[in-house]
Parts: sequence; structure tokens; C-alpha cells
Amino acid sequence: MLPSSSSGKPDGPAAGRAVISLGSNVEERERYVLSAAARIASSEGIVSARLSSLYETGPVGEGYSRPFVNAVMIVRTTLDPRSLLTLGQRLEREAGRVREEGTGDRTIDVDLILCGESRIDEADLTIPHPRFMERLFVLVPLAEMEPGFPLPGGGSAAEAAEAENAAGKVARISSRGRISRKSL
Amino acid sequence: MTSNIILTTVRCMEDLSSRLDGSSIRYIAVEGNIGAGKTTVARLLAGETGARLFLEEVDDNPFIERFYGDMGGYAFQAQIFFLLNRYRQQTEIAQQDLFTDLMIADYLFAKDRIYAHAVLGDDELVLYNRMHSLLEGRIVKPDLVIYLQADPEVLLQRIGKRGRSFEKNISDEYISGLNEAFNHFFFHYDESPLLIVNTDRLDFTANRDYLDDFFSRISEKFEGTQYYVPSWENDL
Repeated sequence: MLPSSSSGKPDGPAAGRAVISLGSNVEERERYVLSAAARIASSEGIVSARLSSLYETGPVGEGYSRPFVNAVMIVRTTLDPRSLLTLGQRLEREAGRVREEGTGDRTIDVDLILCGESRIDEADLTIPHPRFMERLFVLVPLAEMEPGFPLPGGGSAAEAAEAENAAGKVARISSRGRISRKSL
Repeated sequence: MTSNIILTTVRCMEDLSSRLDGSSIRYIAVEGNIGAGKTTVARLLAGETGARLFLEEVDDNPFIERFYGDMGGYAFQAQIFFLLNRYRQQTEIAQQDLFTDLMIADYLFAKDRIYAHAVLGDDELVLYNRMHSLLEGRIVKPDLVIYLQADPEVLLQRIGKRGRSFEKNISDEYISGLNEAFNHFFFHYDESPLLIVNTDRLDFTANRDYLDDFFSRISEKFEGTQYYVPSWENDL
């Protein structure tokens, strides 16, 4: 039974903000990303969630067969980084994650980028995500949702995206995979 | 050239009703926490399509005010009233045939359990679940469920703003608790295609383009659960 009408803060861990990156370059990429987003948004411990627009990026590095569709979620969550990592891994497993070393194909990538002010440096978990500042497919969607989002080490998401010169490298697309005429 | 433009325009203007029909979507249920916008969205859809609207009619529940004043004392009566009211509507929905209009409901019968689990004591819940199971067999599954999500802080603001007398005692914990319960329910929901929509910043009434995009999305058939993200196909 839920508590009755006294007001006040709920018990348990306070909700903090986390940033999660989603990506897919297999089959119906948009569908995998939107499905993962839906699972995250309804997960236990997720108080609220926002999803950016979808973006298509030319694959980074050699060996990838298809461009990725990426998006970023900002969530309010009571989960700690390790629990979020576990959630991400579960979603990757559920999607029947393909992790082809040869082609670099990914059914769904769920990456924890930031989790409040947490800094973790363990074998299987590094927070903030070590390479996200170079990744336009993280910075641009993040800046779209919140241009002033403060990044660890200073600066905002919009400033970082601009510094990386996003124009022409990342294209906003619809949920049906069509490129926006207003792409960067 | 001109005829191509006309044809394209006509296709774009094919109304929502026809598009839903084309995707075999005949019954839509809109769900979400208190203040998420279920009735607003259900009314918008019904207004656009001429669909039959089935509303929860929370205001009509004679126990609801007493429930918010004393949850322990009136939870069971309030829940049973809702259960039977909704069951009556659902049997009406089940009787519809191929020639019936589109149907929109601002609730999902199955979700009744969420509130029950949240507000009933153990013994009451046993009895409630027995009744629910008896009635459940006649329930028609929607062709599409739209789950409206919003941050509990936003929900509380909206509830305060709309100022319903019986809602004035709704607490942070109650809304947050329901939020978790709704999420838990829909995380495991797989009875019908499910579209999750965040309504924190979404105001369909502010801009027809947003509404059109939403209509486009819901009239596309899909399987499983998807998150709604506004499309940009109509960017100029």
C-alpha cells in the first residue's frame, strides 16, 4: 500500500541524472534504437526519460558495413552507475546483440556516458565514458536536448559539439530513416 | 507536374481515420499516470477521427473524494466501482463489429491492477484479483496502446493547476509510487503494440505540425514497444 496523503520526499535514493547513448547499424536500425529507448524509459528506477532526435553518422573507423543510427537519452534515475550498466547489458542481450568483430555491426549499443557527478574507473565500467567528448553522435543529440548541459571538465554540450565541427558529419533523421532537410 | 502535386497533396491529406483503418487499428487505449494527459490525447484523437470515446469518468466515482481523504478506508470501494464501470464499457467494446467506428479509450482495463496493487491491503487485493480474473476473459485487447509518461514533478504541477478538489491531497510519494508501478506494468507489457510518449514538453494543441507528426506515427503499424520521437520529414 502506498503512503497516504502526507506530502514530503519519497524514501530511498534521490534521483540523479544520467546520459545514455544508443546506437544500431543492423537491419531496421531506427526500430532497435526506439525499442531500447522504450525499454529504458519504462525500467525500474527510471523516474523520467527524454530521447533526442535520431541521427545518422558515417561509421567511425574502418570495417563497419552500415552507418549507425544514434540517439541520446537523458534520464532521471535512482539507479547507480553499475545498475545502469546492468540494464544496458540486459537490453543488448535481449535484442540479440550482434557484435561482429569483423564488420563491427551492432544490433544495439547501450552506452552509459555520464551518471550525475560519478567518476568510476574500473575494468568494466568507466564513467564518464572515456571517448564521448570526441563523439559527435553523442554531443549533437545531447546538445539538441539541452544546449547548456554541463560537461565534466567544463563547457557545455553545445560548445563541445560546435568545437568538433559537426556540420556535414551527423545528419538528423526521422523515425522512418529519412534525412531531415534541416540537417546540420 | 501539377497532377503529381495534387496526388501527393491528396495522399498527405488522407485523414487519420482512413490511415488507422488501413493499418487495421480499430481500438486504441491511451494510458499514463494522473496528469499525464490521457483524456486530452484521447479527446484529440476522437475529435480528429470521429471515433467513439470511452472515458474513465473518474469524477463520477462516488468514492473517489472519500478515497483521497482516507485512502485506507475507501480504496476498496473506489477500486470496485472503477472495475465494474470499466468492465461495462469493455463489454460494449467487445460487441463492436467490422462496421463500427474507431474506438478510443483513455484507460487500459489491465492497468486497473496497478492502482489496486498500489492502494489495496493484502486481503482486499486477494478479493479484487479474483473479481478481476473473472471479468478479464471478456476484455478485448487494443490494437495500439499509447503510454504517456511525464516526470512526477511535472505531473504534480499539472494536478495542482487543474485544481480538482478531490486531488488536492495527492502527495509526491503517491505520484512517484504510481509512476514506478506504471513503468513496471509497461516494462512487462506485451499484449499489444505499445508506443511510449513523453509529455513533459509536448503540447499538441500548440502546433498542428506536432499533432500531424503524432498522427503519422500512430497510424503506422508496428510490433512490440517503441518510443515516440517527433519526425522531421516535414521540415522546410
